[in-house]
Amino acid sequence: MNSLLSIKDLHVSFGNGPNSVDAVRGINLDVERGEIVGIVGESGSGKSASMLSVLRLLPPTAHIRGSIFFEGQDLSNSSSREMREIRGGKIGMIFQDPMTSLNPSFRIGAQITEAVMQHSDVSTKVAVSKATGLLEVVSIPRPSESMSLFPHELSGGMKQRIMIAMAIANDPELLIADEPTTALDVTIQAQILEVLRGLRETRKLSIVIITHDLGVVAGLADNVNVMYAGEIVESGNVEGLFYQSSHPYSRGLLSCVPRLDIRESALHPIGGDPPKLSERSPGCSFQPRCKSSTSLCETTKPKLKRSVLSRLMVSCHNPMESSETAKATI
Amino acid sequence: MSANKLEIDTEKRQSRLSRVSNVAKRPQVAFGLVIGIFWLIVLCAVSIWAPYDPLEAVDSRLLAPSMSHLLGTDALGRDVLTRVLFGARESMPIAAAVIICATVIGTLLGAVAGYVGGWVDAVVMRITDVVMAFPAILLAMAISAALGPGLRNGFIAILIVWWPIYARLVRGQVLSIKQREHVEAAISIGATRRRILQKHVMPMAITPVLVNATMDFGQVVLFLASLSFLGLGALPPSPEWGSMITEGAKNFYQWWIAVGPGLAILTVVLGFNFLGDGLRDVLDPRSKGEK
Amino acid sequence: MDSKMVNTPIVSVRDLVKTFAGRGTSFKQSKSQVQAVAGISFDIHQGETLSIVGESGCGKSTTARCVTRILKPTSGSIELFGTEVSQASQEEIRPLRRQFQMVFQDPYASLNANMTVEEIISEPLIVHGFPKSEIRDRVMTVVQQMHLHQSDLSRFPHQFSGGQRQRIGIARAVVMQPKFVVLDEPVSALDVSIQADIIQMLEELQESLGLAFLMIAHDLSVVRHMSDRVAVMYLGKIVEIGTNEQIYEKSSHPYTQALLASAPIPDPRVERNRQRIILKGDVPSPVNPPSGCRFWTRCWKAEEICSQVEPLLPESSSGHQVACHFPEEVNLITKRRA
Repeated sequence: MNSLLSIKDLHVSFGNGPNSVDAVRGINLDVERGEIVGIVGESGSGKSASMLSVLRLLPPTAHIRGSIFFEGQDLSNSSSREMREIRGGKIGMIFQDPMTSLNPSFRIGAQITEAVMQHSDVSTKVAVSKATGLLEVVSIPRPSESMSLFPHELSGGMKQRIMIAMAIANDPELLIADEPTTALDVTIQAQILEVLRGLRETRKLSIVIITHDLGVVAGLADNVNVMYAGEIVESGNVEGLFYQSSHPYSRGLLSCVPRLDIRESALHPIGGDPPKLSERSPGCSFQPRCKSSTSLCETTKPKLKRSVLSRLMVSCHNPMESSETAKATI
Repeated sequence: MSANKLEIDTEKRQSRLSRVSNVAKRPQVAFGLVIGIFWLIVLCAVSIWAPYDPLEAVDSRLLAPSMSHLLGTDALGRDVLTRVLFGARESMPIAAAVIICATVIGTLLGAVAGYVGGWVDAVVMRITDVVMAFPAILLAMAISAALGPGLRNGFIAILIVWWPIYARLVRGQVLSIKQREHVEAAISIGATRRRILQKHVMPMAITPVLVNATMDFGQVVLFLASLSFLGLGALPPSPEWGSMITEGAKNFYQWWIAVGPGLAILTVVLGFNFLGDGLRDVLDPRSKGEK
Repeated sequence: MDSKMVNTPIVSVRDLVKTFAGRGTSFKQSKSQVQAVAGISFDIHQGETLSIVGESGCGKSTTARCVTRILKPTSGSIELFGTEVSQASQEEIRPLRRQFQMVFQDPYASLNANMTVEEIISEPLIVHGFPKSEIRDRVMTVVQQMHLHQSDLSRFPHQFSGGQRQRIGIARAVVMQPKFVVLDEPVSALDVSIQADIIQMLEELQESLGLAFLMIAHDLSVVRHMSDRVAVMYLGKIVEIGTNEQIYEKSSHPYTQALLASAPIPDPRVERNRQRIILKGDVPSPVNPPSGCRFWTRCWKAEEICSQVEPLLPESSSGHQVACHFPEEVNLITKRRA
């Protein structure tokens, strides 16, 4: 395996019997060193569940099948102790709500120092100075004074930056960011995305960013995977996806989102309802909402195939004609 | 919460009926139901089925439990078991009356205080502060001592001590529900304050009150018994459990005289506590923090 | 038609101020108050959409609630359909509510979970004393307009998806055929593919009922699509207000420009070559706003005058007003990175 992270045929389901829910239905995903990979999807797409399973952060009711290779080692076979070393060590993760990672009773300096000392054998003094350095990396003003702040004294944007600092404290190879800016104001989001870009530049950090915001992905990711109902329906290079996508869902998403730079007279909604993960159909999950569906789509699941024109992997029986889908840029 | 993170709606929307049957199957709740039904039957039927007369001496005094007297006899030769069963008639209706009156008074005052706010809220809250500043049993004792013994005065004393709890509870609920968006929506469509309280606030505020009231039933029975134990509340020769325990204390080695009523109180307190728990799960399964 | 009548705004807000009492103990009474809205003015005309944009703490939601009189303003005037309502009692405002309504952000919290859809949608009609026959008709009409089904009427909110619930909320808001609707972040809580659906529905309603909208939003792309005019708020003040074109293509206030530069565009080539503006620091707390111009602490152009004198919104014949000592018109849509 050359890739840093290589997920093969991952299935995640919750519960048993007729009430079970298939959150992730067989996905393959690769992340190279220094690469930023975006996973785009709406609620129910399975995007969060897929990456939570990498770090085994799912509840006990989850059943995981498939291989998750990280630096050549299959994480699905790792022991709990090995996973603990990897979490926060080689793989860091940040979440949508910064409060989940921060203990309100302790100062942030103490928490970052703890994160450092969990994974490396250094003295407290060294750990503290490393923690202060991390605050600077994530652009916290006056780092040495800020070390003594409590989480409730921080704004949302600052809390998220502390989360990033803790996640990268031990120089991980990979950072998984699950909707890191969804709850933040747009100017703060810009700051956080800038921090992430900087980390990739300076540390060659690989990032997997999970989001529903196509704009964020357009600005940050090298490769994009579009998920729908637990499957990857289209994936590939970011420019390919935005300008030459051929999956009706990807196209639908791109044309239903209003743009800042172009004022359109009408949007093109996709129509229908989001998929219910408790239902399984023999055919394509997007079929009920798809305008290009045929009878084959109802009976047979499409498989991911490389499109000749766009070089993207697409899972569709009737992919749309690849043409420039981006609107005229000035 | 993790379900939300995973964007999966694993909350099953069960119908009320199926929820009730699920909850009722739990051992504690089933126990509570059995207790409740048992005492209900006793309340209704004891005068028909009682083995003996509760007030008459029917045998020698201080007999140990035997086949003819399952809980023995007391210091006056009365059958303890009969007295225990009849004791339900003394305490339980009064306890029910206390709970109902306290709930009504507390809910009304708490709802108005919470919704209207301002000086009304301040006045009600200061009154509850004063009442709740006293240890409940001491205050109840003082009041019933002042009013004189007897179950009726015991009722008044406990009622005075108990209503502030509900007022506080309802006020807290109303305060938080008032802020919710569906109440804002009701304001924006032009609903009157009365309509908002009736349709949009109270139905949701009431749930914890019902749960608390059920659980408190046992507590009030215990409270009443405590008052009677201290000589306030029930008067002899009525077979109130608390006063029976007083007698039992005097005849310590005849353990059955105190154990009988003691067990009765225990079953009522435990049983209704579990019932309240079950009721809470039926009415609002999410309040316990379960998914 | 008398042109003067057409130009009279149906909503007219002047110097609106809303102050909340602060929490916690403080010896200085005045310091513990929060001025969520610190004096703003705007008009809305028939059939037009005015959007207020801004980030958390800017006071836009409070403004919406003052305009619909869910909250009582601390001072200032609000005129709805010619009637001054800022200090009126709820009883006095009630009859006027047939003309203006509100759609809320959270489709889960804004519907009473114990009421059926029919009860929810017909409640405004019941409250305002519509006859029973008319109630039934209007409910059916609005159900069709919102692409709901008759069978939905007997169901409860929890049986519907977020997008459907939002449609129920919109149905409730338009069942009395008001002339003015306040939309408080109407699509923020919805999935992207559903947002377009709801936006389209709102536009159709605006067309068929001749509605004026006051939309509160933080998504600048949605605002770009839907609005005729836009007001940008920061820490309780309007810093810039103008037409859609003026704000998006000729923004002049640094904060507006920072917002526009930060809002992501789903187009890699455009997004990666845009002019970036990264503001320093976080939004100051509304309890203690900066002196002078409230934005000076994060502004790259700030000079001494900015921290001392508050810039006011000047009158403007074009309708484009900017509260800044050093306004500079920039087209951020086309501006590339240097």
